Amino acid sequence: MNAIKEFRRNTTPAMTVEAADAARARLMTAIREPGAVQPVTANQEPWAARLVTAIHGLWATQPVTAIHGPEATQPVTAIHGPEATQPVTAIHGPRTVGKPTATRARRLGRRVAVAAALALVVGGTVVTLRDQPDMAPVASVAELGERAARAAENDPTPTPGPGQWLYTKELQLTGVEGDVDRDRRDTWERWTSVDGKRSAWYQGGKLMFQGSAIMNPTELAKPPVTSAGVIAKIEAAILDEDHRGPQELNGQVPPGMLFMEINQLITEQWLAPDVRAALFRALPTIKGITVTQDVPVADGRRGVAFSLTDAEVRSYLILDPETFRYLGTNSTRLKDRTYKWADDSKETFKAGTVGLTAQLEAKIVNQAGQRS
Amino acid sequence: MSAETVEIDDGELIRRSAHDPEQFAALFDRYAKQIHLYAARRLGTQAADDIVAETFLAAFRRRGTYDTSFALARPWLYGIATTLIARHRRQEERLLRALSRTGVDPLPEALADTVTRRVTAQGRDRELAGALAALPRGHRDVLLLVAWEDMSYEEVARALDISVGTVRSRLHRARKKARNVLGDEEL
Repeated sequence: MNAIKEFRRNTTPAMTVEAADAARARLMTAIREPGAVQPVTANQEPWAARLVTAIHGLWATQPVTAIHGPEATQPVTAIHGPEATQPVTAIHGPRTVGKPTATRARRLGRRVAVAAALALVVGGTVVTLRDQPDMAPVASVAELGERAARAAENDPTPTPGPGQWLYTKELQLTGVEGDVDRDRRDTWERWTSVDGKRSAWYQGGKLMFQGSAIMNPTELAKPPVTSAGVIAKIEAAILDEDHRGPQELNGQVPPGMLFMEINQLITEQWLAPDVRAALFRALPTIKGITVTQDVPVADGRRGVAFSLTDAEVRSYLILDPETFRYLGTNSTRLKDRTYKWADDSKETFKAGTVGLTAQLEAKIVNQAGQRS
Repeated sequence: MSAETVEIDDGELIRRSAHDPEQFAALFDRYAKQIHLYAARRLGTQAADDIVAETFLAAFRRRGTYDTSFALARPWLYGIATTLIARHRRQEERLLRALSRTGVDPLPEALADTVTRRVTAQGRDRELAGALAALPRGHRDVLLLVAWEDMSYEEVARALDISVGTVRSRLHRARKKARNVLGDEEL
């Protein structure tokens, strides 16, 4: 047996401290997040599709059809990521004839709420937005909003050119309370143009583009930029979409939906520092949003979070407690909810379903598809 | 684990973890490194990083099914890790075949002081890699748990959830194949 015993024996390095810490952190997350463990309904979708829809299901406070409107012009595969193998038409169904084309707002509404990019990494260098390091933990959600806003304002990152792109990469996990990594684990890479007009992702090795990113960042940056002002613009966009589509909101944007939209904006869109700051100052003004300490994200890091719990979902937008750099999201579905997709298929998300994300990269690049 | 401290055994830890889940973390501290080495030797350290993390997550959620009369959880944990390694069977065999063909071990992580050894892999290792690649996975699992991890037949049987007789026969056949390429004196 000696030949076998010696095989690769002295050429295999020991586990690194970093790897051990990361693995242990994942275990501790599972240990410390106890809760009712309920199975997630099995379904036939490709797993990447299921992951993202699951995360979407966690965040959405309205049925997906209400958010999406009946005529998706954005390929659902754009949301699902590169692993989706199901034909686009199988998910969307045919577009309804005679309806207006999707507005920017509708595309906004369709997006999956996942990660954010509060601290940009430019040219491979992490821009640290550390404020006074010895300050006590944030005591209130207003303080969290203010400190995150100041960090955004003090971001020394040079303003990118209009032709550049924001590249983001995140880790996504889905599972159940107590075992967040049970069902899916995926990384999701996306490029959104700095001017907000296009976004891109890899699918089957090919770079795919779609027309518009979330909201027009130029519109949001029109002075004067205030928290009330940016909220009003986002609400108007959501209501405009609702008005053209499902007409279920009665002129009122639910706080959960507003939270989701703001999260999407700061996740995947480059925003001028004053717009980003205004969004942070706006979050504490949304009804129900509070601060929660020590919330885990998908890669085991923990931070301080804006949190919102409504009848259906408990969700967190998590920042580094010292630098206020964006870390990721964490959501738990509190009530079973069945979503009807555009092809009339249905999917049920059980209470106890958990979705975690962690932002692994956020940097400005010159072209879509580039990672540095 | 130091000899002078009296430690509770794995079975007892797992039993206590039913009501005090944090106790389970001690199992990680006892076994993560050796399981990592085992997985890294088969698939490289990058895959091993994930396998270790997933092994303990899976073990934690299955802890209720552990027979706590077994004092050592090592075979159980190696069994979970081996199941996770099985998902990478094609990759493992591809790496072994590449080593066999080129004499360079393509396991991607080379420590500085191992480079020389790596590029001058002995003919014996090349032949062995070819033989390992050609083994049915279940046979390779048995052979490596015995040869690398010094497990008894009973422990391998527990790890892989097979009978001791199956362990014996798989090991016999795996050794026979290795012997064909290495010569009788090696095994």
